Amino acid sequence: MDTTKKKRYRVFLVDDDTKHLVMLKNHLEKKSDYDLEINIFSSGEACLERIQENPDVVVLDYYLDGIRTDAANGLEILRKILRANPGQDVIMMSGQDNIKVAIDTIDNGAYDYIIKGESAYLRAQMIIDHIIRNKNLSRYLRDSRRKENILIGIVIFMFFLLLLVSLASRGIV
Amino acid sequence: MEENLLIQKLRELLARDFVHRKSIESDLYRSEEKYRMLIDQLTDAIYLSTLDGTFTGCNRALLEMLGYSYKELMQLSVSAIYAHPDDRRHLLQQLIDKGEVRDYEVQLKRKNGELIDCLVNSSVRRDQNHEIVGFQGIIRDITLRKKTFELQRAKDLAERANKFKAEFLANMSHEIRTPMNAIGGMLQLLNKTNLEPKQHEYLDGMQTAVDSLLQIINDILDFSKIEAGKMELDNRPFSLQQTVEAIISTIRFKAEEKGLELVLDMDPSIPPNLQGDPLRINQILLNLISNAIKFTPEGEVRVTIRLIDKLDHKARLFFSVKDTGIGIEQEKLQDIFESFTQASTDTTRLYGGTGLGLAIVKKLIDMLNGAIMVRSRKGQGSEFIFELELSQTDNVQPASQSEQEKDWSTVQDLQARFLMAEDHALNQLVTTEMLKGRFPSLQIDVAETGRQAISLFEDHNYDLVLMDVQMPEMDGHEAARYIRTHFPKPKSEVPILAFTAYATSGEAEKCLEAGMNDYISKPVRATQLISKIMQMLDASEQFSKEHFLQENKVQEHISFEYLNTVTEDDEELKLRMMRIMLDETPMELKSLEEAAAASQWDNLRAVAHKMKSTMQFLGLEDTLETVKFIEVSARERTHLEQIPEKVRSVVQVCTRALGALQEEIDRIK
Repeated sequence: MDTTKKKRYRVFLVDDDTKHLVMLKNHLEKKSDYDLEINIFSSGEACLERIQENPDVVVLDYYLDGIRTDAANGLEILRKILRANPGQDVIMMSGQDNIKVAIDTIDNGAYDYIIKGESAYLRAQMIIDHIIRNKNLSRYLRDSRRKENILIGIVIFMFFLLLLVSLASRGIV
Repeated sequence: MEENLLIQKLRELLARDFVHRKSIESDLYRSEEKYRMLIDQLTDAIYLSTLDGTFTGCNRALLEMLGYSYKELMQLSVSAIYAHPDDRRHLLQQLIDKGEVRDYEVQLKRKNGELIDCLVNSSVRRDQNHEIVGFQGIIRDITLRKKTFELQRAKDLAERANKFKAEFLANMSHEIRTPMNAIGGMLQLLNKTNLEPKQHEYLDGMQTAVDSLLQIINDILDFSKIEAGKMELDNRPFSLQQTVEAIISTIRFKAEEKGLELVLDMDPSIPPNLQGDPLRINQILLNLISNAIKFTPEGEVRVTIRLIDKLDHKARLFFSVKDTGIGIEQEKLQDIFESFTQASTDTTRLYGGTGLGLAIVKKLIDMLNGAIMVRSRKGQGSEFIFELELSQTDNVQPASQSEQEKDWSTVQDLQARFLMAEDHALNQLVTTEMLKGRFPSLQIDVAETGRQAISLFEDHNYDLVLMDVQMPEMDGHEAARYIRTHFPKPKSEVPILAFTAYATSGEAEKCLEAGMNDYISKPVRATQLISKIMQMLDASEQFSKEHFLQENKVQEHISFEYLNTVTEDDEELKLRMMRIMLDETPMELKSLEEAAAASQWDNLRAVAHKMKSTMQFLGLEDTLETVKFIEVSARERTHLEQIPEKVRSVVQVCTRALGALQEEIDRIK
């Protein structure tokens, strides 16, 4: 996959916990298969302001009211992101004790759900890489399908051309 | 011939007699002259008078005393010199009855009408037939003496009144402090219970009011102590730098609250080893700076300290506290150092205060042999300048107290039994609650009088005695002395902590003399009380240190294992993480405490949730569980009564962990 490293992929990280942001960013930059450009936000509102930049992936924490108690929670932000960017890939993160929340977020259109813990950074990196790989694959698929179509077109065109030539040579036309 | 001889003899005889007489005459004359001079030079007046009231003779002193010439006086009626003519009648009556009068006090009138106070000693003169012909006497002018005496008496009275006033003020402040102690303590306790946010707000207001009332009482107490001459100055090595910085840091928040800038400009050449009374210098600066902040609506307060000169181990220092505040009118400038004076009565209404602050400052600076001056212009701010001379010392000043004090925060509980002797019911409650709130297993027995305390002490074994000094029946001193002398060892060696109503050095000495180990002055602060008690128990030989119960026996310590693992030994990342935690955790702890104190459960849940990652990164696994417990309890609104205790333990562990974190950062760097 070395060829894919040439392209920079954009990732938004949203968490009110600076420590998690720093750790996750560090981990992703070091470990990801892709060249990532990572923007970090300490609130959902700040992320929403720049969602028009169409990041490849958004990693969103569920609890965002640790600093400001009136801050919107992750689920609300998720809905707003999807309203602004339908089809946006959003990974939700939350503490272990919120399985119900996990199902809720998936139902609301999140790509995946990560439980915070020791392996969360690795999981996040894997999912992000996975999303990017999928994106690349589907783009490749789309491209190759287009190429295929053109090829078929050329083949058909050539076939008709040959047919025409052969007919002409036989003096039919 | 014979006849001639006879005549001759007679003549000789006569001549001899004449010479003799002549010599007698001159002797008489000389003697009279001597007495006259003596009499004239006397400062006491001497007079002779007749029965019908005219003078027949006097010395010069009488003339000078009354202001008449000799001729005038001889023509005057004696009664004319009396200020009250009745006096002469009484005098005459007594003279005639007894023949003499001693030390008769009378007021006389001088020629110019001036009244003088005199003492008269007089006796009667009689002729051969024993008939009274006149009087003679000595008059002494005691006007000056009487005036001095009266002045002295007035001065004594005034001084006594002033002393009474000072004592009254001291007593009154003391009497106010006892109930204030109860109110303050109750408020502290009430603040720890589950209350509505609104109620917390009201409580905070009350706490502020109590604090400022206490400040006023302390001012009055200080003032009356200085007035009564009971203020004693300390003379010990100290660092001016440290003293001043401590003041600035305690008062900075007040300035910031008002949006003022507080600037400290301190001469670096000031010797670090000065000797004097840091407490009083602290009081002076604190008073001036808080005044400056109080009277400055915007701008800055600048504190400048300069070294003027240094001579023979003496440093002369210049202090200035300058503000950009409302200023003082020129005509008020002279009065502002008077007690109970503020620049105007409006000022009192607008800014509050007793008006004692500057009076205390002035008196303290006087006591320190300094001088204070003020420069001010209305509307443009004021500057208070003073100079002090402090001697330098070769002794290095002792380490600051906080370094010497042990950290008791690890002790979670205390298995002990205390005896508390305290007659004031509210203070009983306050102290009990303070201690029980900190140490749930602690048992406290209460005695209301010294006698009751003794009988309880006889029947039980106590680990410590809390002794109020003022109690009915038997006071604290007596009770302590009794315990020390009337019980066998080791019972008699129980640690005793005295509760005094005010902290004069005499009071402290009395407590220690009575055999008490330490003393604490009201109003009692929980932290102070607990630290004193812990120190005493720690020093006590009978008290087993196993009764200091630590949470889970071992207090949790910071561990960098997890952090090392997750950062994969990336030192830079690790350092960055540690800095973030060092920066953010104090704020989080504060929010945690505030939310818990204000019973804002949603906030508490949010903060606790956020703190979990910190606990994890610091390897504080048990505390992580505690934080989780807080988060869940706050969300579910369950076990709310356990939250204050849990929050306290989290704060304790984290505060220590932050210290370790700082050390680790320093080590890595």
